Amino acid sequence: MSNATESIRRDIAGLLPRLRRFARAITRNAEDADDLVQAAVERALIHTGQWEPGTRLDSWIFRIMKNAWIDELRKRTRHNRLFAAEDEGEHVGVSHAEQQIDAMAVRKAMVQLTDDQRLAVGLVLVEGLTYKEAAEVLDIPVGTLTSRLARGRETLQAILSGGDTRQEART
Amino acid sequence: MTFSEETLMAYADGELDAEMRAAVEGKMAADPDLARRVAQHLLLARKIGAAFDPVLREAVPDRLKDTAAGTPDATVSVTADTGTVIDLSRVRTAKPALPARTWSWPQWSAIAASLVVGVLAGRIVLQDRSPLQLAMEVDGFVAHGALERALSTQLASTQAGDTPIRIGISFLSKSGEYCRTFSLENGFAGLGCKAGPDWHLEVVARSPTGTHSSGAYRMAAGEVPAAVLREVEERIAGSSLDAREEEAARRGAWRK
Repeated sequence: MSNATESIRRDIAGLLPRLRRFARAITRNAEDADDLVQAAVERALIHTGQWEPGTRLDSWIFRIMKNAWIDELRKRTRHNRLFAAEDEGEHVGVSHAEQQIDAMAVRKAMVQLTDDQRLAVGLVLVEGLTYKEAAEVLDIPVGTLTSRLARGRETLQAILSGGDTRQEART
Repeated sequence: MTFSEETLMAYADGELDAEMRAAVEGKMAADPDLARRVAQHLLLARKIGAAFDPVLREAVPDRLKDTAAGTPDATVSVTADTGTVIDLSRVRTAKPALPARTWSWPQWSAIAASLVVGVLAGRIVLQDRSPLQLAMEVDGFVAHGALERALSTQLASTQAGDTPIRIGISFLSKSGEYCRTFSLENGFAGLGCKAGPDWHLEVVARSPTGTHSSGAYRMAAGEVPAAVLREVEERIAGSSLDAREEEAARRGAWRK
């Protein structure tokens, strides 16, 4: 194994906590999330040659995760399988009860978003990417990213402020 | 000039250029409703970030570590590699590995502070509810940075005359929490109560005198914003702590 591969492996290992966080934001349960991270890391390691040193490794892997997750969703739809049950909350180690309730409400609300909106929210609000960076990961114009983000937030705000829980699938 | 919800969102996310940012802030100073909408975006963003942050502190499952390390028997789980070609041509700008913007508290506090300064120090007259208070009702604010330090360590009896954050009175609330009033150089005063590890800001309001008068300022009733006083009166059990009790409470880390 070359030194470069060695060093990418180390960097990816260091990113695992963030990859898991992002996966948790875009999938519906912790098991899917870790499966997704594993699949993405496997893909990344096969294609390390495609990553350019000097560019953001996290963005690159987020993009692989996005592709892997969309593939997975398509596969599930094709096989007409139901999504695995939601299980927000119990794996997340928050000590403060109030925070935990908040966090649980947010994770539940996230499930109401469309996949596109969830990806936008996950990249920008969970992972802290700029609009431009997030748009690049998703391969969409910044304007599209902005409107998905705005609609996703609108839905989240409505649900979290106890209002309507509409489930419109606008994109 | 009216701002779209997307513009306010972009402001909250730090995505506006300097000119637009200044325009939003200028309008916010005169328009409490606008400030409240911005605060809502900020709070929501913070809430969403906070909901997933605990994942960072979880132990990473061995199977993922093994996969990253290239342990031979690591298995493909979700999808087989489909040979997706990753187009990197548009992700070329060299960037540090850290995210450009995460909702860390210091940053949030800075934004909240600028919001407060922009809104409260502006032309609007505060009645009973400020945008900040409204925001607090949505999510509750927690003291951080200098304010957290002052609430945790500063004693009213020994603080310097020119300290930027003055502690007023300390007392035990009816629900058994220690609470302390404070006033800031910029004229705001508030009440923080210790709940668990945090000082929750129960109320923040502008002090009628504008700034806290240095020297002998001891939270004389006339100088405390009415909103803060009301909170104190509502919560206080018995009387406020004297210097000795205050010191003892600090020694006990403000836990009952």
